[in-house]
Formats: sequence, structure tokens, C-alpha cells
Amino acid sequence: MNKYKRITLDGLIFQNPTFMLVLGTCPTLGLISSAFSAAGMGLTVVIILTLSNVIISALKNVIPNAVRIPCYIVIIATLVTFMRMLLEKFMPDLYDSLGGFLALIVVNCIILGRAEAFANKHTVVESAVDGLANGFGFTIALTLMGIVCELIGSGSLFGAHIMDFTIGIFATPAGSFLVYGISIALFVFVIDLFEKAKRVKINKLARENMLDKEVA
Amino acid sequence: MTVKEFFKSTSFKCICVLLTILLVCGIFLTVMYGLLEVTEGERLQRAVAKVYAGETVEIYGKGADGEQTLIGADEKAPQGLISESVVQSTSTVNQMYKITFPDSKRVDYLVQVTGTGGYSGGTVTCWVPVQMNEDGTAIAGIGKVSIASNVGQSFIGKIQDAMLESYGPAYEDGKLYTPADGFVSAGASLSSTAIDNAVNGAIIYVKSAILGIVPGGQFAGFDDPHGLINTDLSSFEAADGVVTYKIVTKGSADDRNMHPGQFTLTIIVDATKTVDDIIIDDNGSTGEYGKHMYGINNYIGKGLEYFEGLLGDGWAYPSDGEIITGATESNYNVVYACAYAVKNYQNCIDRAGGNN
Amino acid sequence: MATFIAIVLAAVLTNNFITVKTYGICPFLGVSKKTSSAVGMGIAVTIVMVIATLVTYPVYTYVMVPLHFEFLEIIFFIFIIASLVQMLEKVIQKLSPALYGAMGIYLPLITTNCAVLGVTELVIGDMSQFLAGATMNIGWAVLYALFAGLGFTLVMIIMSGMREKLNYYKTPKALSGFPTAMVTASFICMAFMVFTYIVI
Repeated sequence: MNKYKRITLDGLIFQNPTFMLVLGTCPTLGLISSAFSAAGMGLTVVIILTLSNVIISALKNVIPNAVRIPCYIVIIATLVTFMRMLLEKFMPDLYDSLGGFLALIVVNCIILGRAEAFANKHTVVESAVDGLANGFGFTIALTLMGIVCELIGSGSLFGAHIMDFTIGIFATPAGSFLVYGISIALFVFVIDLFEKAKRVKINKLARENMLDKEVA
Repeated sequence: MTVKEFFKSTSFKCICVLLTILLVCGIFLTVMYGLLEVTEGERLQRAVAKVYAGETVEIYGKGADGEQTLIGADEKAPQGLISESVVQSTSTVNQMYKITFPDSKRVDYLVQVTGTGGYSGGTVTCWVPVQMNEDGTAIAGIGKVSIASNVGQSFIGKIQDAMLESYGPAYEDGKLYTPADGFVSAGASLSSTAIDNAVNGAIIYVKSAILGIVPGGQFAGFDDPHGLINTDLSSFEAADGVVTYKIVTKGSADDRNMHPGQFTLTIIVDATKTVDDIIIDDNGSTGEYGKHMYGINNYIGKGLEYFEGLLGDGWAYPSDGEIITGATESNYNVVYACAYAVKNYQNCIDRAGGNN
Repeated sequence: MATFIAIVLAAVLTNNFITVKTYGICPFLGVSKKTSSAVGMGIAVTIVMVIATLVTYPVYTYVMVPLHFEFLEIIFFIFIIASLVQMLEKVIQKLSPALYGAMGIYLPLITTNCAVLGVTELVIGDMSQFLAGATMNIGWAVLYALFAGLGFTLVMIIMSGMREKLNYYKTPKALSGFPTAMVTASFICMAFMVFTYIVI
């Protein structure tokens, strides 16, 4: 049980893909000007990430090492295309608001990153938990920033008009960058404050490992 | 490596696995596509449901025999009433359907129209429900406009429902919707312009296609040497020897390629064939150029000779003279409109007399 | 000519991939610490974007659309891009070891760069706002990809210049690294917003 708790906490907080590892930045910056799109993108990634983790983990003994990356990409691309069809059929509003970023989930580094760093070494159940935890870590981060950006930038929340005072820049990429940057700083600051001890060190190691792998 | 060795090697295994995964994924997606494909008919039903939320409606399109036929809820590829899209000055009409209501005699024409002039040269495509009066002889109003899609409108999210609902209550025959008249959402004025153009375009189209009122027919045969006047959107009224024009310019004449926006002007010409009053309802100047425009009060009381003096031979774009002020394109639009209004004064009086 | 200018301005300034579309942010933040590496990455991305568009646009327009295989576009595109990157790496390694030394390390990262997939998806969509009335064809598509790549490189260079200077200042621990980079990026975006007033 402890193992799953650890995976969950890592995905949600200590290795939060958005704030700690700073992965999947393109959809984050592109969509947090609206809380609805941000939450929608987050939940879409949860589903795709969990499914891709499960499938890749189940196939880890079948896929030869040499062609693993192309295989992962094909599997992820299939899942993204499938999600795109589902959304277009059943949630056309969300489909419209996600726009081009829906197709770009394929190259979202979180998904390929988790496949490479976790799913191909762990069991199906662990990978599923990891997918859910990371996905929800991403979703929560996006939704929180989406709420901030939409409230200040458009004076509304999930599309409902709240106030007339707005600062237009927060509805643009400039505001998204600003909010994202400050959010990371706050997050790191709070984590540092409460968890000064070893957790952070482990985390830093993990982060360096991750970056090393990406470059390699 | 012999053939036999190759079939046992890792390379072969790699190729097999990769191809198998590709094949399985391809088959899976093809099957899913068959199940989940969103057909044209479904898109139409969605659009109608969005425009007429909660109402029961019947949709009519064109059947194979060219007659109007009821479109069923599960029809895959419904045919609209228009076979080819119709390009108008500031909009393109893509499709039109007739909407009827089982419990009343009301008839609507639902027009899918793309308005130009949006942010960064983009467009907005809207569904515009044009409501007819009881005997179908005139347009009674506009229902709630619904946005279908857009090209490059980053701030489309700022378009408020209040604006999309405001067209109906404000409908007046012959009136144009412009951002200057309040049909605008704060922070997305250019996208609003495109939506206004779409709604105007839908009205103009329904008038010509259903009611037989030719767009710009009022102005047929008027002098307009450079085609700068947008006759689809302009109108005039003549009474007691005074002609009140509502002129919309195209911004750029057909033979030029400059881009100030379109100007909407109210110009009153009295019996002395001089400009009695001029008001700029919608200033099409881009950016700060409007500041440098020649004062419009100079035009009051002036006749054709004065305006032709400013414009030069054949109303061509002047290369020197008084109206070169740093906002020459904008001045050209306004002076040209004045010259047009004065020159065609007699045409207006004749035509108004004939109509009465 | 009008279309040419419209596409160039849109791709480089008014619709810049980084500052307006927020595509390709991972390399933008990851490889912008030094100007030399920023230039290398920018050029590598530009080359891959042009070649990828050159391949995917005709495949999509002349093969997938007539056969009604549009729904397989993501798989095809990402597969083409991944193979292209691999091939390009091998070709450069063979032809010019010097260039490979300068650019080789950036190439594998490009497969998961959304600017490349982004541009191939954009050019098959509705491009009418950039075309000034012309009809879309492969020439415009490649031109757009080329200048979108150059616009990306431009912002990369600006960003790396600022980050090199920022190294001289001490920042609070929580703000060092990504947060500072993002606030810097935010200011670049604000500066680029002025270009939205260009009316083509």
C-alpha cells in the first residue's frame, strides 16, 4: 500500500509534472487563459496518460528495446486520435476550445516521459496509478492557473461572468508565462518551506535523471 | 547473414512488432472512425439545437428533385437550399436552411455565413437565424446568432452571449449592424466586426434570395468610377428635395490595394446640391491615422466642383493637394463618398420620385 | 507578392510560434541558456519544419484526403517526423561531421518538439487569413514553415541573450531557473504584442 501512496504523492506533488519537472509546457501556456480549456486538457491527458501507461507496461516484454520509441509514439498517437474522435462526437464545445493543442498531446513530453521513465519498468497496476497521479497533478496545476488567468484576464470563471475589472494581458501568452513562472516559484517555495529534509533531495536527483535521459 | 538468420534476428523481431502495432492501431482507428464519425447531418442538427435551444423545429433543405424536403434527424449528408456559396462584399454565404415550427406558422431561414474583417485578417463563421414575418413578405427580425467556427480569432472567447442576442431586438429594416452602433464585445472588437459583417451579409442574402430585393439595386447606374462605394451596405432616403445617404465605403477602391477599414458615413445633400451635413458613424482608420484626417467640417456647404478639385481627374487618388495629411487613404474615402453623394443627387431624387 | 509579405510577417511577427501560439516551449526554455546553442537549436528546428512540411503537406492533400484517411493524420505525421529526424541525423553525420558536432545533439530532441508537428497540422488547416486572397498550395505551406522556423529562432536568440545577462544577477532560490526564464519570456511576449497592430 505504501508503494502506491508514494507513487500518488510523487505524481501529485513531489514530482508534479507541471511545477517540479516543468514538462508539457506548450499546452499549459496555450490553454490556461481559460479555466474550462485548461481543465478539459488536463482530464484528456489523464485518460490518455493512464491508458498509454497501462498499454506500454503490458507490452513491455514484447516491444524490443531498439524500436521502443517509435512503438510508444504510435500507441500514443492512436490514443490521441481516438480521444479526438470521442471529444468531437460527444463534447464538441471542448473539442473546439482545445483547438490545435489536442493533436499536440502526441508530443506532450509528460506522456512519452512517463512511458520511458516509469511504465516500461513497472507493473500494469503501478503504471496505471502513476498515470492517474501524474495526470491529475497536471490537471490540478492547469486548472488552478487557468482560474487565476481567466479571473484576472477575462473577469470570468469557467465562462461565467464574475467581474468587470480585467487586465487584458492575462488573457494572452504573456500573462500565461507570468502566471506559470510565479506559480512554479510559489510551489517550489512552499515545498521547500515544509519539506526541507530529504524529500527534496530525492526529487532533485529524479529531476536530474529525467533531464539526463531526455538529452540522451 | 543468410535469409534464415535474418528471420531469427532481433531486426526481424523489431520490424514485426512495429508493423503489428501499426496495423493493430490502424485497424482500431478505422473501426472507431466508422463508429464515431461526425457526419454533416449531425453538425447541422447540433447547430440547430444550439440556435433553437429547447424548441421543436423542422429543417428543410433541397432534395434530389430540387424541391424543398424535410431533413430527417439521422440524415447523413443533408443538402441545403444553396448549391454554391455566395460571395458578398464583406461576407460569404455558405449555406441556408428553412426552419419551420410545428406549433406556429413562423418561418425562419437559418443562414451559415462567414464574415470577414476579423482580427489579423481572419474570419468568423456564424449561424444566423433570419425570422420572416407572418405572410413571408419581409424580414421580422434576427434570432440568437451562434458562432460555428473562426479563423485566427484569438479573443473569440471574449464574445459575450449578450452581444449575440442583441441583434434580434435591435433589428430595423435597412439598418446595418456595426461595432460603432454597440454591436461589439469589449476586447474583441475586430472579431465583433466580422460577426456584424456576417449578420449583415445574412440579411442581405435572405432579402435578395427570398424576397427578391436586389442588393445595391437602389444604386444601380449611379456614378462610381472607382467602385469605392459598397452598394450592398449603403442606402439613401430622399424627401422634400433633401437626400440622406448612409454610405459605406470599401476602404480600398477596386483598382487600389491599400487597407484603411471601411467608413460608414451619413451625408445629407440639400436641393442646392451641396453637402448640408456629414457625420462619420464608423471611422475605418487603422491605428492612430484617424487623428490626421482632414477636418470633415470643411466639406459642409461644398458642392461637386470642390470635391472634384480635391480628388483630381476622374476621382483618381490624388498625389498632392489639400487632403494629403498623413491619413490620405482615410481622407480619400470620405471625400470620394461626398463627391459620390453630390454627383448622384439627381439620380436619388428621380428614383425616389419613381418609387412614390 | 502581397501573399509573400503577408505570410512572412504573420509567421515571424504577428503569429510567432513562441510568443503567440506557444508552440515549441520545451526547447525554448531548455536550450536557451547560451546564444550559441539557441542558434543551433533554432536552425535545426527550422530545417526539420521545412522538410517535414515538404513531405506531410503533399501526402495529406494528395493521398490522405482523396482516400478519406484524414483521421490517421496524427499517426502519419508523427511517424514521418520521427523518421525524418532519424534520417537527417544520419545524413548530416555522414556528409558533414562538423555540422553534426554543432547540431547533432539537438536533433533527437526535435521529434517531441510540438513546433514541428504544430506547423504540419497548421498548414493543412484553414490558412486563409495569411494568404491575402491566394489559394493555398505547397509553396505557401513551405514558405510558412520556413519563416515560422526563423521566427522561432529569432525569439530563441532574444531569449538566450537576456538569459546570459541574467546570469550576472542573484535571484532568490525559488525564483532561479524556470520561474525567471518564464517571467523573461513573458516580457518578450509583451514586446511582441505590439506586432499585432500590423494590418496586412
